Amino acid sequence: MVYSTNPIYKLVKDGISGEVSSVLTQSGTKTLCIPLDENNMDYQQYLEDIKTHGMSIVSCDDCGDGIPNDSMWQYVENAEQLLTDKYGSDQDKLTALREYRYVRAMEAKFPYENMKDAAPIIDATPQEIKDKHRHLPMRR
Amino acid sequence: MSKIKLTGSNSGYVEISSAADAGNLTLALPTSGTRLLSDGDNAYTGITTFSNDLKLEGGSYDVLWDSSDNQLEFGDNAKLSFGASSDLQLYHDGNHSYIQDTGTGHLKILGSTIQIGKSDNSELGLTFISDGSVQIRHDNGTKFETINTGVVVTGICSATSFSGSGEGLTRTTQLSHRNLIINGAMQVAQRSTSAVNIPGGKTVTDVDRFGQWTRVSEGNFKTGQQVADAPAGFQYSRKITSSAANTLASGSYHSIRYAVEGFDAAQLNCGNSSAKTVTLSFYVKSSLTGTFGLNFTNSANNRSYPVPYTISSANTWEQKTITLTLDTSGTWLTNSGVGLEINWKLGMGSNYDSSDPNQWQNTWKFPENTVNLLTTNGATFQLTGVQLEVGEQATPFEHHSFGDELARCQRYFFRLKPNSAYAAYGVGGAYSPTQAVALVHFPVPLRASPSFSYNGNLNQFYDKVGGGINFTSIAVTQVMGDTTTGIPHLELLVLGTFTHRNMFVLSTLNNTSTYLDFNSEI
Repeated sequence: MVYSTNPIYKLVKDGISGEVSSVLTQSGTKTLCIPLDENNMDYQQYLEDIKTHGMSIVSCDDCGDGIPNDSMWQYVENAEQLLTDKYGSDQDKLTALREYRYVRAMEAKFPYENMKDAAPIIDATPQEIKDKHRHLPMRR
Repeated sequence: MSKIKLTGSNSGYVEISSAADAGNLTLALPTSGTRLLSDGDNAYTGITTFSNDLKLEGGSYDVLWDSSDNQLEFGDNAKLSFGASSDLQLYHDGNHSYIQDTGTGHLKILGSTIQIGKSDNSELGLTFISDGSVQIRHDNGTKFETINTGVVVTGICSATSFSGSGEGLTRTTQLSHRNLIINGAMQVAQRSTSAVNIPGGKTVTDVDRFGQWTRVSEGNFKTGQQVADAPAGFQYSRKITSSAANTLASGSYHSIRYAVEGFDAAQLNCGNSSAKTVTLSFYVKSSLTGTFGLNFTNSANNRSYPVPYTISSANTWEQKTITLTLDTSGTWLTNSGVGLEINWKLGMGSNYDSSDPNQWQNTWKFPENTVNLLTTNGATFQLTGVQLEVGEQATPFEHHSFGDELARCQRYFFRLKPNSAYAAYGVGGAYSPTQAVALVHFPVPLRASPSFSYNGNLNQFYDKVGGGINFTSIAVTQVMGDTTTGIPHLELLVLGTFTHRNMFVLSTLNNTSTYLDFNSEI
C-alpha cells in the first residue's frame, strides 16, 4: 500500500471498550479502519511496515486502558507519556509497561529485533526492573 | 555317352527294381535339361520321400520346399487355398500378407488363449482368454479389458458422443465443487469494473478474489479491470494493461495473485508425502506472444513451483493446462490463512528468476527468460476460466450462478451500497450523548475481522430515526465471531450528537454514492 500521510498509521480507542482497538490509515481517498487481527491482510501489512520503518510511522494520542495489546500502542515513542497523562498517579501501570518493553527488548522480540531499537529501551529501564529480570540472557 | 531307353508295350510295363537286399535304386541324371518322369500324370502309392528341395511350379508363382530352411516357401502371390471355391486363402502379395476368407460362413480363430502381438513376440496387442477377458493393449499396457460386469478403460476415454443415461457413471474426482478457485469466470467485481491504477502491496482492486502483488514502490505501473471480452462460454475476463514501458529493477515484482484459503486447500495435503496432483486450467489472451510464467507458492513464499507456458498468437484466446504434484515439503496453512497461492507473472526482476522450472524450490521464483508484460507500454494480459482441481485432467470449467459466486466472494469482501437515497446501513441505538452503535449484518460470515472504510463525507450520512447529527467518526467497534465461525455481524461506532438511548438508524443522506466496505481478503 501507498499511504499519503506520515505517520501513516494512527491508533484509535474504542469509545465503548476503552481499549486501543483499531488502526486507521489512508487508502486512496478513504480512511481504512484496520482491526487488530493477525488474519487481516491490512493488519499483516501494518506489522510489516513497522518492521521496515519502525514505530515512527505510528501515532497514538490515547493509551486506552493502558494495557499492552496488538495495536502496538505500547511501543510508540510517547507511550510512557500517554500513560502518565492518563494515569498519572498509577505507577503500577507505568512500571508494568516498562517491564513489558524491557523483557521484549532483552529477548529481541518484535519490534526490538534490532539492537538499535532495543538499546534505548534497555538503557532507559530503571535498575530495579533490570534486577528483577537479571536472569535474562545478555543482549548483544 | 551311350543311352539306355526302356519302352514298354501297351499291355505290359517296364520295371526297374532293386532286390530287397540291394539297397536304393538310384537314377543319376545330368544337372539340367532332363526329366525323370515323362509328361502326363504320374501316380505313386505309398509314402514318397523327397530328401532335398522340392519345387512346385505354378502358372505364375511357385512353391518351394526348402529342406535347408525346413520350410515350405510360397513365393509372392502363391496362395495356400482352402475350400471348394478357394473360400480361405493365405498368401503374401509382395507388400502385405493376407488371410482372406471370401467363402461361405465365418472365419474362426479358435483356441483357449489367443494372442495377437508384435512380430518378435515381445508385445501383445490383443489377448483372448477363453471363459475370461479380452484385453486390448497400447505399447504392451492394457487400456481396455472386458470383465464380467462390463469393461475397464485405463486412461482417457474420448468419444464424440456417449449414449445411455450415464446414471451409473462414477469418477475419481468430485462432480461438483471441483474448482478450488472462486470467481474463476471473473463474474463478480464488487469494487470496480473500470480500469483502476493498481497501488503497491497485496491488493484487490477490481475483479473479486483476483488481486495482485505489486512492489510497494512501483504502484501505478498497470491498471486492472473487468471487461466483457471472453472466450465462448464466458462473459467476462480480467484485463491488466501496462501503463508505460516500465523499467524493472532486479527486485521488482508484479503478479496477478490468487490465494486459496487454507481451509479449502487442506484437502490437497500440501507439505506431506500424500500431497495431491492438481491441474490448473485457464484461458489467457495477450497482446504479446512468447513464453510466460506463473508460480504456485505457500503463504510464507518460501516454497514455489515456477511454470512456463506459451502464448502462441497475439490477441487470441488460448486455454492453458498445467498439472503438477503439490509440495511434499514446507509449511502449508490449513486454516483461514493462505493455503496455496498462484501468481501469474506480469513483470519480475532478475532476483526472482529460476533456471529450474517445473520443480519445487525453496524461494519465490518464476521461470527465467519469460515475458515481462509491464515493460511494454499498453501491453495487455487477460485471464478467465481459471480452474484448479484435484487430478491429472482438466475437466470442463465448473460454472456457478452469479448468486453463488457473489456469496463466495463476499466471504472476503463485502460492499454495502445503497440503491436509494435514504437507505439504511444498520440499526442500533445511542450508547451515550456522543456515541451510537449500529449493527451491520453480512450476507455470509466473513473470513476474519474485516478492515472497514466508508466512501463519502460524514455529512452524507445521517441518523434516520433517532435524530443524531454532526457525525465526526464511523468506525468498527465490537465484532462478532472469529475465523472458525466466521464473522456474521459487527457494530459500527458513530461519534456525533445523540439523544441517549434513542434508536439509531445509520443511513445515507439523500445520495447513493456513499458505501461501506468490509475487507477480509487474504
